[in-house]
Amino acid sequence: MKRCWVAFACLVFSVNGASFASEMPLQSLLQRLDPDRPEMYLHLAEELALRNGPIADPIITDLLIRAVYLGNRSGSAELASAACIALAELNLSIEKDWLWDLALMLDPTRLGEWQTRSRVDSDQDSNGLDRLASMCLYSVRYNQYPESAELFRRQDVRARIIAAAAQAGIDESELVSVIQKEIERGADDPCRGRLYVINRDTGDRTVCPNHIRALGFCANDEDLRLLLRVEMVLLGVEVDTWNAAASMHQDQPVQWPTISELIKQLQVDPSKAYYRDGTWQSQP
Amino acid sequence: MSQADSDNRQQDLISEYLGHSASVGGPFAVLDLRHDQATEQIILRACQSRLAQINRHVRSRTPEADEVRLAVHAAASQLLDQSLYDELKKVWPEGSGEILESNSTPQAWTVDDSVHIEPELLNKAKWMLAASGGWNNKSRKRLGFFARSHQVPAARLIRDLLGGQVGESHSSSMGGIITRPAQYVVGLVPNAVPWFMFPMLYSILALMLLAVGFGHTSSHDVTTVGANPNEQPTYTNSVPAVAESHNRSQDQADRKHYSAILHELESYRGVIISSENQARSFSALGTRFIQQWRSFSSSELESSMNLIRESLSGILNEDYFMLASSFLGRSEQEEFVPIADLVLKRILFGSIHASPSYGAIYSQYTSDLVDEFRGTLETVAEQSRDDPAWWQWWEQQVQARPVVEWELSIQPWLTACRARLVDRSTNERWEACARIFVQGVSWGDDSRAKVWYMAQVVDSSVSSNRLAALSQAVALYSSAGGLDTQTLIGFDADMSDREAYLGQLRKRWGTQSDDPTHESLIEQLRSLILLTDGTISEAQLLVRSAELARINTACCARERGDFSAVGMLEHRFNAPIVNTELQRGQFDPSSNQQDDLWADNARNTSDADALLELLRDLDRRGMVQPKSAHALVWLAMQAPDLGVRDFAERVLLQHRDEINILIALDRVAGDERVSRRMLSLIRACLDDTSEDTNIRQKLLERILDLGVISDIQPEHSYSAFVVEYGKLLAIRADRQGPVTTRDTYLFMVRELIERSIEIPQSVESKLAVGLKRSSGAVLYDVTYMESVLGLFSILLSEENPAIDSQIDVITREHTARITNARSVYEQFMIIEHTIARLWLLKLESELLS
Repeated sequence: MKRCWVAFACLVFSVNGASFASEMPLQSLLQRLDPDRPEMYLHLAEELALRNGPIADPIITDLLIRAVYLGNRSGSAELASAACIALAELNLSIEKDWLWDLALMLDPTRLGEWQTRSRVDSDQDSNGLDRLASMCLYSVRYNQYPESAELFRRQDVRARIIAAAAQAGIDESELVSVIQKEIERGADDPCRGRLYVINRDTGDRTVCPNHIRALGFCANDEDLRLLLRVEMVLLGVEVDTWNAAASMHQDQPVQWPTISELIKQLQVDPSKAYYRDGTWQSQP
Repeated sequence: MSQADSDNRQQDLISEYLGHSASVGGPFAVLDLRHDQATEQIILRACQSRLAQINRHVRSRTPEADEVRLAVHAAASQLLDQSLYDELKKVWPEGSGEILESNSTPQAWTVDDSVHIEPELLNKAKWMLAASGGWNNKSRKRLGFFARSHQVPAARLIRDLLGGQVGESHSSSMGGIITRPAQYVVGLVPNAVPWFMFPMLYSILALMLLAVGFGHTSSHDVTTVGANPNEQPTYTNSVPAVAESHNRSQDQADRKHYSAILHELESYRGVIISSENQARSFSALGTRFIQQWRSFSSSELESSMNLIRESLSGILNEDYFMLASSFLGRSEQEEFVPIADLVLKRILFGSIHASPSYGAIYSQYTSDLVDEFRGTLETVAEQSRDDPAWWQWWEQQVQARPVVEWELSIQPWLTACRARLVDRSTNERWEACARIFVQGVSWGDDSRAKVWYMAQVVDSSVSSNRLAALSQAVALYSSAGGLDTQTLIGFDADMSDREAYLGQLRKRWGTQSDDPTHESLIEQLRSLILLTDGTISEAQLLVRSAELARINTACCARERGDFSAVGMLEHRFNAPIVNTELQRGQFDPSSNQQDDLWADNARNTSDADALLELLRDLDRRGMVQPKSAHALVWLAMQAPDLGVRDFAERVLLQHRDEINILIALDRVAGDERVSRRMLSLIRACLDDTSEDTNIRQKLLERILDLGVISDIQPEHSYSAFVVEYGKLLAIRADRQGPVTTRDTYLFMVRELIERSIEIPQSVESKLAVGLKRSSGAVLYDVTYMESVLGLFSILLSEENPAIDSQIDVITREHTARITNARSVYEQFMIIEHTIARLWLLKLESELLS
């Protein structure tokens, strides 16, 4: 008899379950998520992205980073890396390349796919702004005023220079201060970077007396090093010797992407994988 | 699987293949139709579109895809029935109404009249349908798989099963084909059954099965072998007889149910499992067998195990094999069951198909399966406890597991002990556990236990307190001879006490080495490793890196038998780095009066002969100063006389390795008006004639490499280090001339290939990412050496399986340390430090074995 009641209860619940299944609001779907099934996080994120487009919706980001973390934790390398690649499609503050690199570290079998993407990306012409930004620093170094000031006033050029400086590990304010100082030096330079000035008395060209330290070498080694480090990033310069790298203070360690770094950058705690009452929690 | 799970699973499948919106429930969502789109044509078009959508899915050829196809057909057939349509409209939500494009009829669902289905095949299909309880999820899945494995169209098979009739009210399109199955189900219930009742029907069927299950389990007195140390084991490894205590009706219910497992296993006879889903399904079936084997009769059990063995041994793909056989490796601590062992023993030691090709694959797979088991055991071993009962239980588990390489069978035993040794807490019960441990392993001369034990003695992560208890147990209770109560260590022993104890062990166990370099290298490695274990100042990084690199090279040389190189390297391992190359003077960008004068004259002189004389004078002076360099470039570009221009070009080329010249060229290279002739000259100065060269990039690289800023202190002479390191790499590779880090990596790859050792893709991928994220010589060198380290650890592991787990520990610690390095130079030192640790491990294990 007892079993009959149990059976009846199961029947009722299954029918009700079927009714609930007819409409699944997002909240319900989120509450169904199970950390032991990381694929649910990825699938739901994909579904939301299909509905709304691959925008940096916080809930999609939350789902994907949990898919990465939980997938990796449960040994599903393919799933973790797929979620990583999905993150790359969102307009996050993290570089797409970095996310693809992390995807490869998580699932080394994606090497072929990764290499194809790297080849395609390297074929894209992204050097227009890089070229302008490097020309700006070039004209700064060679005291070519007013060209240096005009280029540095451009917002896009300035932003690119600052981004390259960040890549080189250089403080933005320090760099801007050096550039502005050099621009002013150029403005005060009688020859304006042309090396020769015209002697008013004789009409001859004479070497500009302003340059005790030769043109192109900035006011001192420190400033020169700073500008060259940024130019190196913009021009894709690679030094062949350890001495040259050391002289340019290129001592930043090789950074292989890790999930810990991803978590740190996105500032999300993916171990809180249960969605309850509108927040992510660590317990069901 | 419960009915709710089954429903969820079907929703998930529909969601996966058709999108989430299709799985919200009801036939309208499945076909994405609005309530008002009721015409036959639209419904059929929608059906076709959905089928095409499934076909485009990457997993369109799986049984799951066929399940979804059947669901689409069922939805179409329901909507085509007007009376059903009206009822369904009241209950289920509508879709978006977007007519999906469907390019063509999925081939799997084309009714191919030219295909003839043999009566025997049809009978089997009917039998399968009946055994599955009629038209339901399970039968659909099995029929789909059955059709595919026999290479007949599923639609044709279903049509023939239904007597070859297509629904009269429909055209001969796909919509009609599946109508009958739906009607068949409908026919079970007197009146038309709405869609939402199907889950209820499934629930009823599931509950019936569940009720049978309840009745069965409640009367069983089920225990598992060694489930919990507090329970008494009741089974041995022999095949147990079926429980005799059931009543007849329960027995019949059990046998009917468990016969289904045997029948399902038989359906795999002659079938090659060739997809992930098939492998997964087989593993699920295997799990059910493992869970329910006790109720099989002896003959059914034998048949089932043979079928499993045959099915697994027929799998050609390694990944599918591991997946399909994964049910044999599942082991929660409370559920080590002997039947999995028995099946595994059948696989490992039983005779199988005569095909010679299977033999080679079989031995590879069994080795991998053993690795899988080893991994499982290792995981449990790492959670060992200070509880004698646990150790007694663990002994049973270790002995119950068959392994191909018997000498490695004690590894889980050793791992369990190590987990206790590195535990810094104290526990009185550890002494009793230690006794069980030492008595559970052989301590003979050819045993790994001695080697392992001595390695623990000098491992600083091992607790002295726990080691002391173990030493007592080894002396008093083990079969290792030569020890007594004099050969013990104290509970508060420090490392020097432990070193002394190690010496005693070596003496008593006769493990001294005959090779004098062996022990001296070990001593030097140990002291250097200790020295470089913590934080090293920037100033010391290069020095320590050089010392470590020399000792590591000595180890390589010793491996090759080159003892003269060993001696040389050992003797001067801590010598200062000497820069043997000619040093350039530090570059000075300032100019003087002479420089100003020359530049003035060059610019203002118009006479060609005078200019030529000026140029000769400049060339004679040696290095060209900065302003003269700019003037020289101007002459080469704009001197009126052709002869002067040519001569100026020659002088430029002559001095092209001088920074001032390169800076002067850089200044004009950035000018958009620069002539092609000048650009060619610059390329010639760079020794690069390619038109695609980014001139400014190359100029800057050359300027930097020449040391435009050279404020590096002598003791930080990186160039000197790199020169010496190149020579050390050459000794390691046994080559002449300096060897680069890239060369070293390629040599290692070649060596592994020659030894038929697989190079994991993880090493290659890490290298690719590292190179991409690196820029410049130092970072590239670190990236390559990191991969060299990875390959070295693999090589060491293959050569010395006994120290495999310790290699893992070292590489994990390395990963953590290198991730947190402050600079690329520190990373370099860490890599050499880890290589040194691996060499030490190898040398010590050789000494002890």
